[in-house]
Amino acid sequence: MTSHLTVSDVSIDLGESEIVQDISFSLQTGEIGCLLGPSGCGKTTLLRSIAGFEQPRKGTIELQQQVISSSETMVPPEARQVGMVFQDLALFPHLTVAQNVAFGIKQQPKELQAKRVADLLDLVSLSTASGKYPHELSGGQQQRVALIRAMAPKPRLLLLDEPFSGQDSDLREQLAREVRGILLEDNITALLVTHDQMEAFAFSDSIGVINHGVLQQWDSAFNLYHRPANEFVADFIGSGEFVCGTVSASDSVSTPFGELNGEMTASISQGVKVKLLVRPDEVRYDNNSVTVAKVVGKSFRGADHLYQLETRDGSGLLCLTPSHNNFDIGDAFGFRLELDRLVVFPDSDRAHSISSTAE
Amino acid sequence: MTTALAKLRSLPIISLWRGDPWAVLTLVTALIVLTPILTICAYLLAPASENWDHLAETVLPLYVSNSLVLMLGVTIGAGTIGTATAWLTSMYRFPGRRFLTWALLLPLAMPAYIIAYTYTGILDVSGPVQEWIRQTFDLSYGEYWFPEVRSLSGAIIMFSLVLYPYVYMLARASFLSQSVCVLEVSRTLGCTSWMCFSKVAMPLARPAIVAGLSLALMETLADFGTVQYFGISTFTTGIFRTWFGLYDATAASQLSAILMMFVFVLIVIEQWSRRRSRYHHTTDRYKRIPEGKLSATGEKFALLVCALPLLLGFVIPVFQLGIWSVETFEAMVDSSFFRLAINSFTLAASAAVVALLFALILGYGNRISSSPIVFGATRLAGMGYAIPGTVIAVGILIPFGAIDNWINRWLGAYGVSPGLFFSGTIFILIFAYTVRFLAISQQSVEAGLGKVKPSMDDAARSMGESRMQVLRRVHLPVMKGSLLTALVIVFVDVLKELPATLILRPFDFNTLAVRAYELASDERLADSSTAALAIVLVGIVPVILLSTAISNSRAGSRKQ
Repeated sequence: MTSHLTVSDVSIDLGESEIVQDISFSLQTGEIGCLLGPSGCGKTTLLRSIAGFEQPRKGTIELQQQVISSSETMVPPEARQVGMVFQDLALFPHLTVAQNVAFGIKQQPKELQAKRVADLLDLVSLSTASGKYPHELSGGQQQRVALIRAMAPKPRLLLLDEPFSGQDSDLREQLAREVRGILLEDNITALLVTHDQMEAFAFSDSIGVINHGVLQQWDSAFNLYHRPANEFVADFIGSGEFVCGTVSASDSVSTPFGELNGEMTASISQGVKVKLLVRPDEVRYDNNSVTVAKVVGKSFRGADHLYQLETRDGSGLLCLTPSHNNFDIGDAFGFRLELDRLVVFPDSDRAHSISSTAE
Repeated sequence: MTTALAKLRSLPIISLWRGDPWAVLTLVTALIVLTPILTICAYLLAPASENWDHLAETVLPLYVSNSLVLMLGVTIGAGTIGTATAWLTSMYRFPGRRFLTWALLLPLAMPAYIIAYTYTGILDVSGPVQEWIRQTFDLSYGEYWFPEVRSLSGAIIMFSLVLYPYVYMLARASFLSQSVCVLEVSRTLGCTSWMCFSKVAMPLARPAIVAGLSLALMETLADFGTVQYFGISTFTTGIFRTWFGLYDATAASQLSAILMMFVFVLIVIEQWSRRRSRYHHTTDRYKRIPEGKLSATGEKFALLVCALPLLLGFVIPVFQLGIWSVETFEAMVDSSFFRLAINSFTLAASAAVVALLFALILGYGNRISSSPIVFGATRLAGMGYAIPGTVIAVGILIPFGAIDNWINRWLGAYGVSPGLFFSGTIFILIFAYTVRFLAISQQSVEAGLGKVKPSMDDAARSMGESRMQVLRRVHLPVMKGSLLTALVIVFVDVLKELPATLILRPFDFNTLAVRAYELASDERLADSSTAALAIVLVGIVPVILLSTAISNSRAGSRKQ
């Protein structure tokens, strides 16, 4: 199967600085991808380069086997048939909802235009709003208009630049799921840019985590959480703490909390010092355990409590436990670790912190 | 050859053009607009002419003291009227407040020279007021004391009556934008209503009031018609006299340069105050200020305080102009009056279009180029709004006169003498208006461009539109309102403009403003009224635009 969008070895400079470095990934037809990373990581620049607003210094971007961007070729945005939904939505204030949606299909006969607009408005349940102006709509409605406006010309690819960021956080995931449903229905290939992992999880089939312009991992949401490729991804996706340990066998690590067994995510030879990722749900409250930590912080979250623990050797752990297990700050807290999988990284940080104190 | 080309390419201006043509176009446009001001600045360094010492000894101290007294008087007059009316209309409820809120802007439509002619007519020996006094008390002229309108204090009152709206406008905006929280907090901390005004609201509004006052003082310094008519020697009349009486361009320019230094001080104060007033917004959360209730006497007092400036600054003079127009209608409104009107309107319309084009170049240049030099140049280009028309006229005539001379000498070598190309043509008149009123167009263009977010350009292009189509389908329709506003306001300001027109107009070319000035100077006040009334009535249009713009842009009001 050939891929629909192929980004290979793309580097982009803005002014003097390199914003995107050697990024490669691809999307199949109908696949929904996502670029996830902290703000300023270069994800939006990459998206704009796929749309045709920035030219890469190096590498190629191919859409349906046609090179649309490289250091030599640069198909102008208007000739790419790539739709884009912008962070600020960019609805035209002087046009009604229907006119906004019809903006990109002006060359079609009037009846076809009207039908397409009506169909799309129906798809997002906005048929009654067709004569209204953008400022008369709620944020969520504006959002949906921006989406169908980009979909109206049946683009070969749809790009979404943080389109949900203006919404309430409760609403974001729900909107992301709604939009995903609409895109799947029309078999549209799409790429979303966001800094919100919950939004990314709800929206996409595969996710690329980007930091400082470098693609850290391109994978499914499950794998990003459970098999992070490096410390950055482990830290960025979900929450958790690192515990120091030493590899004692091909499937076991010895830690201050005892010997832990499980499938190791990286093959590291015996005797090497490692950092082990421990997620809050892997720390179990156990009144009978001999391993005891001190509660240093807690937040009540309804069904559960998230405790911040400090162990005897001074390292920190997070524990997620049903909320009836109620402790006060300063209390002793017995626990055990239950890990199916050992997510380990060679511990280069210690050498790192020594050298940084020496500076 | 190739090395020569390479050298040419490495010239900064050429390489900038290749990298960023918009930046070059913007810089050149800004430079053209700044020519008159730069010319005057250059004369600061020129050696003084023989007339200069004479001027410096005899009239210069008078110009300086008269200007300072005028400025002081207007500061007190316009400052008090503007602040008091702004405070009352924003904080209290009283009958007629809604109407007065916008009507208090109306005196802006009245040029100072026209109100001066009108009050001279009303209060003169032969005017209705003195006639009434003589008849009622059975006195004859000389047997009673009556204040002289045509005096320094008269001028101060005239200026205060038509310039207070600048203070009113900015002070009111400031009072309204002060978050009600700040005021309520001060009430909970035990402030009385008066203490709220003096301890919280006034200090917060002070930068806005100072900015408004500096605008009013710029207008005071720029005025020519009023002081000329009242026989008060100031810089503008002095420049005029030196130019047309002594034919001394150097001395006129040096007087202009000194006047410009006064103006620069005001610009600095204005800009500084505006920046401070921005920082004074302590919160983004606004709520409509709940207006305070007044006692019955309080209501009457508030109504009187707010109605008086409107009556004196607009209603009474317009009424008097109306009476005179009716009396002189048959004699004055003939084919020559219509030619006058057509002259004025064509001139104003052309200047409005040219100023808009310049503003568009500068606006787009600033949007496209990220260079701080371009940004600075576009800001400087708008400086003309503060420079008196007299100064701009002198600053234009000198370089264009030189160009005319040069062309004539050059063509004279071939036996051709084409006469004057620029001096004494409509061309430099329109150029002068552009320099003077560019800032107004710039403001509107920037407001319009601000509504077109960069992402809208991108959105339109990703939907298959080329750059040109984006301009036509997105920029033009979104900016239409702002561009129209720019045209209307510049149009009206050109119509009112007197001194630059007087100096630069082609021989035998008259406008409504010049005609009103000439007739008034000939003591034909009643005859000048039709032209004056036409100017005032057209001037109401931008005041209405302004008041709607203010009520739409108010902080806390619903924005789209």
